[in-house]
Amino acid sequence: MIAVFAEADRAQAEAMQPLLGPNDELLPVPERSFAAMLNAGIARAATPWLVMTEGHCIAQPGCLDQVMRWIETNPDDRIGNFEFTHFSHKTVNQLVGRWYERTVAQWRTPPDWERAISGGFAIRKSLLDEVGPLQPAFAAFSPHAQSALLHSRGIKVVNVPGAAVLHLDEGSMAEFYDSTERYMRGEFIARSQIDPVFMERYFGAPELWINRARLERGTALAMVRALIIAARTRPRRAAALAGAFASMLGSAAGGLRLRIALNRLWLAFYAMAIERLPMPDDTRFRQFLRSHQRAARLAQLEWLQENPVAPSAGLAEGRRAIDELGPGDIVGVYGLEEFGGRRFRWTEPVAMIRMAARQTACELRLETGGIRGDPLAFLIAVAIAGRALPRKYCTSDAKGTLTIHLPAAFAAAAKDGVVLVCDALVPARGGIPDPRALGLPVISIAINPLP
Amino acid sequence: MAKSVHGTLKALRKAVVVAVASFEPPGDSIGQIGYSTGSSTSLRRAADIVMANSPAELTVIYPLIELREDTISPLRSWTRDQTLRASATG
Repeated sequence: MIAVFAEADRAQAEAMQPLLGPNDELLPVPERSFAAMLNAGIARAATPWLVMTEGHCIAQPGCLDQVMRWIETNPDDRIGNFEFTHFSHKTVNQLVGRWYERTVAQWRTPPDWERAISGGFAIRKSLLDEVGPLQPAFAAFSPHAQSALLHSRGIKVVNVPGAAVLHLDEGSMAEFYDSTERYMRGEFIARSQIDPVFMERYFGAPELWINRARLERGTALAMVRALIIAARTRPRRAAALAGAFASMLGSAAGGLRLRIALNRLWLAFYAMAIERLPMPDDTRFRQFLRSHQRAARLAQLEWLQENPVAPSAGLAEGRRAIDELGPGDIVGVYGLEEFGGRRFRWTEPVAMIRMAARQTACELRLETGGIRGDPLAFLIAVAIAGRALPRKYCTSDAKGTLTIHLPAAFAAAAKDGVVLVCDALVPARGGIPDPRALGLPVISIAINPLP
Repeated sequence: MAKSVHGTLKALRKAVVVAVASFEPPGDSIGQIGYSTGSSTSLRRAADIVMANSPAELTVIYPLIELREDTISPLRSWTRDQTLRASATG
């Protein structure tokens, strides 16, 4: 065994020296970073197989013996997860253990994918040589990013029968929120460095991440303004727009600081309630899950406050497939999907497309593939710089392509965003378990000059 | 460089089969696996000798970070001593 410690913890590590056997060693590293520690241990190890674990995991009797048997009897396997048990003597331990089991079960259920669980797994060292070291910058997310890389190379994670680890879970909500924050920040750092299509494929599309440009106050205000314009120009649809208006007003009025402060307050309340108030177990668990979502959201908001979206030049002339568009090009979208072998994104009922500044007329073509039928049937309004574009400038064809003609005056104003307001399609109303409110399906966007 | 736990375990199994071993870890039932009883040091000595000649195959990487409430048990559970004990008790 190689026990890796940070220089800052040398005294603690040396106190543990008597526990080590003749073939165990202590290895110092400069930083107190999980990924850097594992990387140092991996670099030091000379064996073809490695067992990775975490500081709060206790190998159960026979664990390594089972690993060895598995290696011997399954020569083609390359990564094997251990079984996890939990020691629950406190309320929060129990909740975290339950959540942990649920999360792991979800990873094992398609369309999700099974990843190596950093608390205990065995792996062929050669695989790590292939995919490279863990990224310390990704913090608690680094093992997940590495697992995705391995999965993308077709490497399957299996279970090692009988190899068990006792996972000592977080004992307080503060500790749990801290773990959540380290994971979330790491994930956002990874998203800022890794191909977005790859990240979406493996880790989904957090609403705050793909629509982070909406956090700019001007953007949110422009979208609210467009809703008001849509309600004025099509008064019969005003009631249908109320829901979108209410949800957007919060982001437009609040600003990041206020949202962060409110989330912190909520978390403090949740922590107190979950740890101290009497309530049935299932209710407590539901509150726990909500507070976990809020902790994740808080970490995302804080990261985005520290790392605002770089100003975007907006879309220039030419056609771009939806997966080529960045967060500054289109705002108000959901994750990537496929239809008939083509990638597309649903927009929200209110979405903004940002175009590069120009002085001449152009047309904006949105390819929808007819996924929702004729786009003109559910397009309520197009607003640019506080003005509604006359309806005559919007046309559609049999393939479901929406063409928006922008005369020079509108084209010049479009650098601040072309806002599309649609009737919401709510799958849940049709009994489909999808809570989203959908707008326009977008396969590609093209900007073409007009004579 | 850390040597192999795998090597240790493999060596131990062989040692047990040839009845060199006589190891009684506290709290474990020796009778379950039919070992003869005796001093624990004899097994460790035998294992060390065999292990010195065995190929290293598996290394545990244990990071001393996020130790939580129990700072001792996790590290101890991954050490060779515990591995020996686990293997000997099957």
